[in-house]
Amino acid sequence: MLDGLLPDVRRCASCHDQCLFATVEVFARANQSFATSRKALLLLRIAQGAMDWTPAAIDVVFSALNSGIQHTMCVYRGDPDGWPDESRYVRVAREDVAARGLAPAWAQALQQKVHTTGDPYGRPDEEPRRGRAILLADAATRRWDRTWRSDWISITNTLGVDAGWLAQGSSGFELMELGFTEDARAAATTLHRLIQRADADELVCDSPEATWMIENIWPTWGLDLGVQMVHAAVWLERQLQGAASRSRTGQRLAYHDPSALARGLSVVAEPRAVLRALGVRLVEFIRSGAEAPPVGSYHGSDVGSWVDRLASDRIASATILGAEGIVVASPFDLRDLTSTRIPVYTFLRVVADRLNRRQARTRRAQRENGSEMART
Amino acid sequence: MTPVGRVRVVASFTRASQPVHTSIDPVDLLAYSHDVFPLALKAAGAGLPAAQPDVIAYPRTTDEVQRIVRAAQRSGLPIVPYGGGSGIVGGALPVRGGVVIEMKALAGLMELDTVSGLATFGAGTNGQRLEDTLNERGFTSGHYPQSLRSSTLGGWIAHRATGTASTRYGGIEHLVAGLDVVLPSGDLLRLSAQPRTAAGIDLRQLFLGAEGTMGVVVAATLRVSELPESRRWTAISIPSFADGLAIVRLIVRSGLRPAVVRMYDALESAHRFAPAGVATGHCVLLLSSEGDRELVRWQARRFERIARAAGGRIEPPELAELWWASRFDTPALLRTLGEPTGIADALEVAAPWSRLVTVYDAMSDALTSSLDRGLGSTAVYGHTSHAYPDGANLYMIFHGHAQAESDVSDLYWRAVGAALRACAESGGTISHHHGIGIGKARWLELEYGTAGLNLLRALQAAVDPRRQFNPGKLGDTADA
Repeated sequence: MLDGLLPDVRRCASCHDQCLFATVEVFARANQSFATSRKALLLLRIAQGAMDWTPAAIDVVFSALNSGIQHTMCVYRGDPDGWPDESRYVRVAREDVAARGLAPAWAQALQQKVHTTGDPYGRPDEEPRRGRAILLADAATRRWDRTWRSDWISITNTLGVDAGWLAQGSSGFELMELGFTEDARAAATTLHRLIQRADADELVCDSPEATWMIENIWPTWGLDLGVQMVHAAVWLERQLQGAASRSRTGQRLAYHDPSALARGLSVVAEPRAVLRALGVRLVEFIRSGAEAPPVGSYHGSDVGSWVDRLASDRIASATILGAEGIVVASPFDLRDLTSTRIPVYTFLRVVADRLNRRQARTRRAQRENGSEMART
Repeated sequence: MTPVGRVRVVASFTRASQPVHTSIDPVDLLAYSHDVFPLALKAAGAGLPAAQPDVIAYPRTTDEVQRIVRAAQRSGLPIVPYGGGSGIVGGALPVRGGVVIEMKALAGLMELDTVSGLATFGAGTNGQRLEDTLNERGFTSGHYPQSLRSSTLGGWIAHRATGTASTRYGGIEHLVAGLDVVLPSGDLLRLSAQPRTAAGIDLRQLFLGAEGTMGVVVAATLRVSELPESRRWTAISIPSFADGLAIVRLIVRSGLRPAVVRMYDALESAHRFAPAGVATGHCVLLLSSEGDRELVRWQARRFERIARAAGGRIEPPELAELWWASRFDTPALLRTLGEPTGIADALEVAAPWSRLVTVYDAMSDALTSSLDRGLGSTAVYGHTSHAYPDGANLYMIFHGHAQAESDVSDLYWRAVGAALRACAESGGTISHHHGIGIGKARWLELEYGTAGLNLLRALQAAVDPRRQFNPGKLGDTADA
């Protein structure tokens, strides 16, 4: 276990944890065992044979949120030789645990669902629709975002884009995160075949996690798409270039940066540019962009009620800053942040709504101009 | 302690109708076997625990802390409060085992008095999270230690900490207005937030720097400030460290109040700022001014005028902004510690202005000659980062290599001992803001003399007759 990653694990084990404040699981569980340095020390001792994979050790490894925030906050940041990334060795450790059949029951349940239904959440595939721009709705999107299809149709109709979608299978993100690498690879291979068959000019995905997976992990498995896939925020920013709105109207909304988008893909400016172009009154969190904290688990499973605290803290921050709603750009964030305390909207929902309003305003103005012309 | 003994202790915590969460799992015991004392970090890199607690207790309320303390007292076990484990002198290491009290559940903003500028937080609140919470509400603590992201409010109090902007906002002893402390008896002592008091000795001071030996701080009220309207950086280069310190002294003595003051010696300046174009051999001084926009502009101009008159050269403010943006990226000490025979540490001391340069020279010489007895590359450098009208601190940083891995510990203690003796003999204090812990315990007598150390021990004995609270710390040299 860990072989090539041991130098990184050693560096983390003997570090003074500048990433501690951002390792939110430490505070949600009020337990130092979940700190990066302690995780690393534990893995080092397991690799040395000084400790075993006990339930407590497995809990530490599977409670890591793998949001990449430790890498962003690392004390070695900027080192020309690179710097440690907790998520990398945590994934290897999970793979080791899973290979021994010791993964937690909730993780094994997700694996089982894939085996029986082909979907991590046990939901059936949906009929694809062909088009020039294809939206890939990954398993998590289909599970938690009820309006993804109608929003996509509305947006592309307004923009006059020939659009379709692919809503089958799984990118393998959840399986890979939980250490079921072979299952993840099999799922990815199947979806790769479906994408090839769709023959799209442009591939768009509303899930940062699936986008990250396809861009970063698939190539290591020899799965080349032949066409770049981008997150919906990037695609929409390109579509809306030059369409800036001067007025700001409606609710004050706080945009929450998903880990996989802001840290994994460095997409921070684009979603804000889109929202501003559509006249949204944006409120910034104190910690945003690459520093935005994770607000729950990123592998679609209920790891325990402690994760609720993370979402609760983020909602409280939004409220204190005067936001009247939160915009999310990840289906996992939609699941985690949805509460009765503040409305939560998907990025696609807000864009669809604003584009519709803008179109209605334009039509009204045209009608009024037309009547004026007729009168004169 | 035997496993049976541990189980008995845990049972004593859990007898009440609402049991306190505890753990004797090896995974948890390992997690609390460390802080960032350099020799503990070296052990961690080798996969070894530095100290071994017997039980970890996870209280969620003050009442639970009281119950843990009373039960631990009955069992005779040591009690070690634990915040972020970020202390560099081993103050949180359970060197004699016992019950580690994990404080992180006692966290968060409890009350904010916006009229008085007073904010009460649980002692387990992480520093950066405390600051973010205040920033969201338009306030700042003004307390930004290098460990901000990993330390806790309780840890700041235990070590009598100070932050990088202390010249404007003060150290933790100036920021703490009120305290809630669970005493060794299990009683809760509430010291309300007051602007000042002459009700005898200020008992708050008894717990500032006590390293958990006088009780468990469970909450504190801080004096907080409105977020500054403006911040402006000034960067100055000067041919000598002594001349640079003179500029800092003139600025502070003239009544100006910079927030950040960082005066680097030539070696550290070269390391940090030569790539940005500062002439080799020159020393760099960084100053920040923050607050009212007009005042900030005026103060920055005064800094420049004083510096120029003293022979300083004004450098682009980007030098300072560069430091501010990367102030948490501090891998240099860790890199050396990560080498099998490497040792490194940052000793923070202080002295009056009249003796500061003497202390710097004496410590530099002591460290250099101690480390030269080792092998491989050696570096000794330093800076001042907290200035007062009557003096300033010195951060003396050293890197060295022992001849063999088995000699690392000896070389470390020899270097630290030589440096701290040199400091004390030259008229400085051996700790400015890291505390004593085990790292400086054997030299505390240099600070207080026998009479002072006896008084300190008598105070500890009066408060904690069985010396169960964080034994081995604050002058208790049995483990050093």
